[in-house]
Amino acid sequence: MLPIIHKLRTFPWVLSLFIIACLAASPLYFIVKEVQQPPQEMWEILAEEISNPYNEIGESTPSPLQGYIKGSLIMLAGVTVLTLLIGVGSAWFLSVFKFKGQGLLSTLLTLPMAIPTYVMVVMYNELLEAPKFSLFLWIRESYSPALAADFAIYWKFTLGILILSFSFYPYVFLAARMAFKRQSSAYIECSRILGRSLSSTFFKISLPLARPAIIAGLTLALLETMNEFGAMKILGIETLTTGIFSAWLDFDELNSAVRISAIMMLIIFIILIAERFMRGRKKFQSHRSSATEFKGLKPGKLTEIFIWLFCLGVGCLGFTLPFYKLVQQAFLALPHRDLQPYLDLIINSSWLALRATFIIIILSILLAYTARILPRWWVYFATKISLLGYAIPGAILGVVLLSVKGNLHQSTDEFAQWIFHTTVTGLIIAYAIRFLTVGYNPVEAGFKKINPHLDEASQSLGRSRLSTLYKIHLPLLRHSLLAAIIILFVDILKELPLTLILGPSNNDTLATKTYGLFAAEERIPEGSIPALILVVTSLLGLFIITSLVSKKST
Amino acid sequence: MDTTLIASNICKKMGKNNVLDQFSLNLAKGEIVALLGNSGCGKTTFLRILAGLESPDSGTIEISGTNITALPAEKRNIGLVFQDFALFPHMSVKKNILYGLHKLPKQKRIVRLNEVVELTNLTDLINQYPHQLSGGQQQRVALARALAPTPSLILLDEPFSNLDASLRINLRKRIRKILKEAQIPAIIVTHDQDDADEVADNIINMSL
Repeated sequence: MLPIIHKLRTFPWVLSLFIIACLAASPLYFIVKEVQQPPQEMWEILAEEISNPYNEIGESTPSPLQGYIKGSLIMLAGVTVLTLLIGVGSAWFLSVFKFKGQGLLSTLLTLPMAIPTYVMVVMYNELLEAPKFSLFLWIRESYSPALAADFAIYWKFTLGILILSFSFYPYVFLAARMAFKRQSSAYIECSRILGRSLSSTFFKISLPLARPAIIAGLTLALLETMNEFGAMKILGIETLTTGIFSAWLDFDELNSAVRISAIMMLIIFIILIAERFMRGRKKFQSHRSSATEFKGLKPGKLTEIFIWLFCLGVGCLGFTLPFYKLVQQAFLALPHRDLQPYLDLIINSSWLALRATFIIIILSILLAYTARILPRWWVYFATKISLLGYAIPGAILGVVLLSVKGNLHQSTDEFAQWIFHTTVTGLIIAYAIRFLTVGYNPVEAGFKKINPHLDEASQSLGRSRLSTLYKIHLPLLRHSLLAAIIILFVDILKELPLTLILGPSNNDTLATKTYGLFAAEERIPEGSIPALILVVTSLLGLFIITSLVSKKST
Repeated sequence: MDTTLIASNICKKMGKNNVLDQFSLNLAKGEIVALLGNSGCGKTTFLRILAGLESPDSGTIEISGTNITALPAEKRNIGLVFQDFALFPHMSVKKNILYGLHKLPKQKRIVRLNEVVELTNLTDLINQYPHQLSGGQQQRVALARALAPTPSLILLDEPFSNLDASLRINLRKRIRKILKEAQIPAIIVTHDQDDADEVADNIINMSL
């Protein structure tokens, strides 16, 4: 009898956990179900190679789908190489050396996170327009028009890889910096005493020890690359994500869009499995030197100059240069505009982001607390499933929810209308699925820091689970919650593909307005105003979080 | 007797504190000296200065007649056994010991590895990883790793503080034996009078 009573007490927590897990897993279920339907008309055109009668060797032109896959793979490969080089390199320089202005460089290197890729790409197009054009002309004049056409293709892929890398390297940088910082100073000192140079120490000791963290950071960067829509569309690079959009918008075929999604999810699963594999099975005990923190070496003059040039270069390309251009463009348009619409836009976007943030925070607390009071393998498993959404690109989630809506349409028309057309409910559900991990991670980390004896003490004093959560945990979690709220708010504010697909047509946000003005109407100065608002909001969020973190560590 | 180490008039300030004030120390060939003193009396700082991990404000350090005060840590050829052993967690015992032997030709590395392993009695543990070892075993690996490149001097920072009391008594004798057999002069930093008595030939009390 007693065990059943115990189980009943935790039942509400378990039930809500399973509802969240089912909701999070449903997109994958719908993809599988849709793929089993017969393909629509245009799928053949998308997927089949076109045989070319004029080609003597009998080569056929690759299908659009092959083009999408190739585009995605090129971006993934480029971003892998560049983010690792930039992120790990700068993190190592800032961890091992000690010099004046280090903190400044470290802050500068995180700033690119504040500029959405679709803003950065437009700013670089503006900055590089003249040199690109003269280079193009020069190649056409002095070589051949064919070579000039090739040049245009190389140009857009190079620019695409550079822009995504400069936007996403902070994931690798932050992960690597944290990992290097946590490594015991004794390892580096010991290696040097044993006669190893600094670079040998880096490759033999520091890098292998930091590998799991670096791989985790890289995985985030790669998932963001797969998710990328705005920048790719503006540059004219065809990837699986832009393919989903054109199947849906140009051909009006949701089933074809879902089929492309299935291929994309396959690549993502390969990335995630590769992550597990690369992290390695061995878990190294974290080893903390009790005696001394690594104070950092004093770099030689030349080394110091090199580090400054490297980090300043990265910071300028990733933040200062595009930000400068953005401010300049925004001030071109500012005097001629009525500011009321922008104010409405800010209120509208913030209200939407706040509602979604609130729901995600509640869900995160629910998940983390359930895992705390019931540490069982199946709870752990269900939690993992609930957090799957971060790996599903926004375009896929959007398209899947649209086809769910199609199914609902047949049964209950009004209900579907209410969720997806007249209100933002559908969009908020989609945000919740996609961004749950973003809220969950800081909340869970916060819970872990709370001594479990506090729970037991509260229980022994006659408090229920819920009351313990409210009276004990939430007050202790307030820093973690604040951090989670800010990250979520900023991420949702910047989100583009989901909002484009699921946002009600009368309901523009800062992100969709920016993208619309940039991409569809090419009104760069006007679009720069909402873009600047977005960037400044993100910067504010970033500064608050940094100060929160540094306050906690003292 | 030949002197190996001559450290003269070492001064070091940390903030406003005079941690080391005109501290001098001579060490004969094969001699084991214990630096005894309470925490904060500068004994660990002195070791770190000898190893080249920190630089003194003034004073000179000579080893076998060469002035090494300005040499970086990796060029000094001084072994150091850390208080927490600092074994590289992603390397086996063998790899940990081989790590400092990169300057030797390949065959000699294995020869030297075997010598050190035998000396420290680690033959059975050579393929284990640090987290699989007991505290006493970890300490022997740390010692073996420091001994492997045949340093001209070996420094041990509180070598017994992370170990059980029952282990200590046993290990004191063992470490003394290993150091004497290897014929490498050593400085042991400790706050425990018994440690110092058992291991060292001479004791210098730094608190005085």
